[in-house]
Formats: sequence, structure tokens, C-alpha cells
Amino acid sequence: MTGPAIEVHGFTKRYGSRAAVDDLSFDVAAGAVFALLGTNGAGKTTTVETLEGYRAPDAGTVRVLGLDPIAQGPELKQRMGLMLQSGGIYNGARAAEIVRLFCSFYDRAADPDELLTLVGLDDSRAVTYRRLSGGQQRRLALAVALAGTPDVVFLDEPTAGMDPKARQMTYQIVRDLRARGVTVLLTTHLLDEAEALADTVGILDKGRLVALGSPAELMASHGGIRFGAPPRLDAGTAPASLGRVVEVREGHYLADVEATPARVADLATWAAAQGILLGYVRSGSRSLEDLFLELVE
Amino acid sequence: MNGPLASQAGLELRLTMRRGESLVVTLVIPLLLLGFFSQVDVLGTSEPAIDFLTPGVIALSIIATSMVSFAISTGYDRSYGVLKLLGGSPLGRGRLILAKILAIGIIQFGQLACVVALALALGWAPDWGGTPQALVVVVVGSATFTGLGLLLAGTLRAEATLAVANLLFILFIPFGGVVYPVDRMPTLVADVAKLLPVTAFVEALRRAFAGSPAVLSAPFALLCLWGVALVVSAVRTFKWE
Repeated sequence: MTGPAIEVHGFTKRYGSRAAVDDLSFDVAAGAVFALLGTNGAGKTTTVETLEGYRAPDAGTVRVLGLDPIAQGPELKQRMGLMLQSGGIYNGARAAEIVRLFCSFYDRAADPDELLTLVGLDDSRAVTYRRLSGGQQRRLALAVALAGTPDVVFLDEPTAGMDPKARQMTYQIVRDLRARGVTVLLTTHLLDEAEALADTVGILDKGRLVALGSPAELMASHGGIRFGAPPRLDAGTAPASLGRVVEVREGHYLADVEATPARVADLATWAAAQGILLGYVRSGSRSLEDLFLELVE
Repeated sequence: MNGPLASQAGLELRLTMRRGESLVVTLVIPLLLLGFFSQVDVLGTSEPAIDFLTPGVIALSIIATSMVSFAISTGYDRSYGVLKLLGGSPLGRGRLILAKILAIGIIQFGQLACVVALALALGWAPDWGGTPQALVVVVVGSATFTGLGLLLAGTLRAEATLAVANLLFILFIPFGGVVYPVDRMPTLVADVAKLLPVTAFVEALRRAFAGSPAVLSAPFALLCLWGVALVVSAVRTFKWE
């Protein structure tokens, strides 16, 4: 297929008078991993569930694999895998039963045993869902999402509740999917997760897209000088060469100017004069976390 | 046998059989009522107690599966997002509902076999000519109480569904003419009780097994009215998530 795997154009969704998602547009190239970042209530799940065909847009259009998720739902569902933000699986069903059940739904079904091995639940196949740990439950949900050998996968907070080992396993599965040309859209509020997995990151805040780009682009754009110091400094005493100094969050500051060696020296001189111990000084780039905290109220 | 519908119905069946508390309501309680009230003469009916009781217990066991067991499990499935994920999968909502109906039907067939076997062993002597009518009544009754169960499961929280379904089930035993004739209750209670869908279900079934017209009777007409009202309300109000 030639076009993007996922297309979102002017998508708006309201609940009552409140716009949960407001005029959202982005594309995801076929075979890419796209991470939708945002705080709780930013509109991530609303967006994903519209792409999955659970909700109709109030305005705008969404297409997945070129198909309308509602009007062409049956065709799309055969080629799409999804993992809800939580649950979705019978409490009393055994892991293997659930995987076999979902495999029976698809024309291009994966092998249930291979799926269980893939997500590391080989030893838990006879364990009921309610007796699996939180991380194991998420891995079972991931196996279910892959039951139809999908072309596109939606993962809503896939690693929530996973221990670091399970998280790394999930990352590897996402990378393997990407290597096979599967398009993945995942939501997360873990910035390192987006950084580790995504080709493209979109940051949602109050239903609006406030940043879009590759992790490298997002971190490189807009440098400035960042430093750590005790909270609530009087920024007014800072030298004019540092421009506007703001406390981005408690104890973390941004001097909103282009970073130069002279300005870093100015900062250090000012700090010494004020008796301020700088915890760190970083220039030229920022972490995704810095960006996120600057953009998101 | 590995199609989506068969797989889904098969899993629904297995999960139901695994729930011990469900077997208590669907099988143990009806059979105990049948055994106890047929052997201990508390009714003082002119006809043999077993002939009075069996239609009531058949109806009660149908209700136990449709309104109690499946309403409660559907309520929890809904709150855990199971209905949402299955509805969004290629199985789809239509086949999910069909699979549940299939599973209900198979369980109720098993229940009928158990109740009828015990009743015959206790001397039940129905008019077998009424069997086709009885089957029609059972199917309509099952649909009616599945409607009621889904009305609860689709609108209330899972815990509330559990409480309400169990409470209704308990109230139906004395007030629905299941083990005690409605006619012998105080007039005011009897007048209200006669309007209940459970009373209509039991009464229509009793007529069928007595060899009287059942499908063309006032109780069956009332049951059908309840059925349409409950199924329509369930369809209109059901929330999938």
C-alpha cells in the first residue's frame, strides 16, 4: 500500500460542550511506530478508540489502512489488532483459551502457541486471567492484539503495570513488529518509552496536538540553557545575556536564549555571586521530558 | 467447529460451568425446591404437589440462567471491558449476542433434562400432548428473562446487577406462583403477583402440561407483552462499556 497507514484530518470529538479532541491532524507512515504522548485526559484514548472504530468523529475524518473504521469496520478489523487501556479479557478464562478464541476470529490467524511463547506466557497457559499478575495480564492482551497477524496495531498504554523485564520484552515485540512492516500506534505517558520506540511522537495536551516530530527533532529544536538550582530563585537578578529565565518546574530552570559558551559562563558567574549551587547545566538539547513539561500545562 | 461463533459459544459455556455459584442458582436450588415441596406437604393442593411444582420449577430454572447467571456474568464482562474488546474484534457484537444465546439455550436444555428427570422420578404425570406448547412458552419465557437480565446488566454496575438479579430471583419463588398458588395469597398481593412476568410464565407452562390451551391464553399473552417490553428496553438502554 502506498498512502499512510493512519490518517487523521481535522478530527474533533466532543463530550457535551467539552472538546476531548480538537482539530487533530497527523499521518502515520506504513510500517512506522507512532507514539501519542499526553497526560491523563489529554485525548489519547479518545483518538485511539476512534481509529479503532468505537467512536464516530464529530468533525474531520480518520482512515486506517485507507479504510473508514466504522463504515468499513468488518474489513478493517481483520487487519487490525488492538489492546485496550485495561481489561478486555474474561476473568475466569485461561490464557491459552483466550488466545485460541481470538485466533479463531481471524482469516490470517497466528499460531496460538507461538503467540504465548512470544509474550512469555508459556508457563502460564493454564492460569486464569484473574490469577495472572498485572504485567502478565497486559502481555496476554498484547498476544490477543497480535492474534490476526495484523497490518496495524493500536496499543493503549501497553506497558502499564509491567515490571522492567516485561517492559523490555514488550519493546522488543514492538521493534519486531516494526521490522516486519507492521504499523504501530501506541499511547503512553512514559517519555522514555516514546523515545525508545517511536519513529514519530505526537504530544497531545487538552485535545490539541502541541508537538509532532521524531524524538531527535523534538529534542533538538529550541535549545536554550537548562540548569538545576534551588527552587524559587529570584530570576530577576540574572544577567540580561541569559534572556528570560523561567522555572519550568520546581528546581529546574530554562534560560530562553541560544546557548553560547559566553552565556554559560555568565550563568556560572551569576550563580557564584548569588551563592547558588548549580545542580546541572545543559545546553543545546533537551530531553523529551523537558519538552513535555514545557508544552503541557 | 472452529468458527468464531462456535468458539465464542464454547468458551461462554465452559466459563459458565466453571462458576460454582452459577450452578447453585441454575441447578441446585431448583432441584432442591422440587424435591422438598413435593415430599413435604405444605401446599395442600388438590392435585399431586409434583404436578403443580414441576412447571414452576422449570420456569424458575430457565429464569435462573437467563436473568441471574447470564445477567451477572454479562455485567462483569461489561465492567471489565470484555464486551468492548470482543465487540471491536472481527467477532462483532451481533455474533457475540448470538453466541450468548446459543450458550444459554444449551444450558437450559441441560437444566430441562435434569428437572424433568427428577420430576418423573417423583411421579410427575404431565399431559405429554402439551409438550410443543410448553416448548414455545419456554422459549418466549427465556427470551423475556434474558431481556430483563440484560436490562439490568446493560445499565447497572456489575455489583448492583448481581444484587438485583439475586433479589428478584428470591422474590419470584414465593410471589411468582412457583411453589405456592397465587390464588391463595391475600387478594391485594395476588392481584399484583398475577401481573408479574414470572407468574405469567409459570401459569402458561402449567396450562400446557395440564393439556389446556397455553399459547392462546391470557397468561401467555401477558408474558409476550413483558417479553417485547423487556427486550426492547434492553436493546435501547444497553451500554457496551
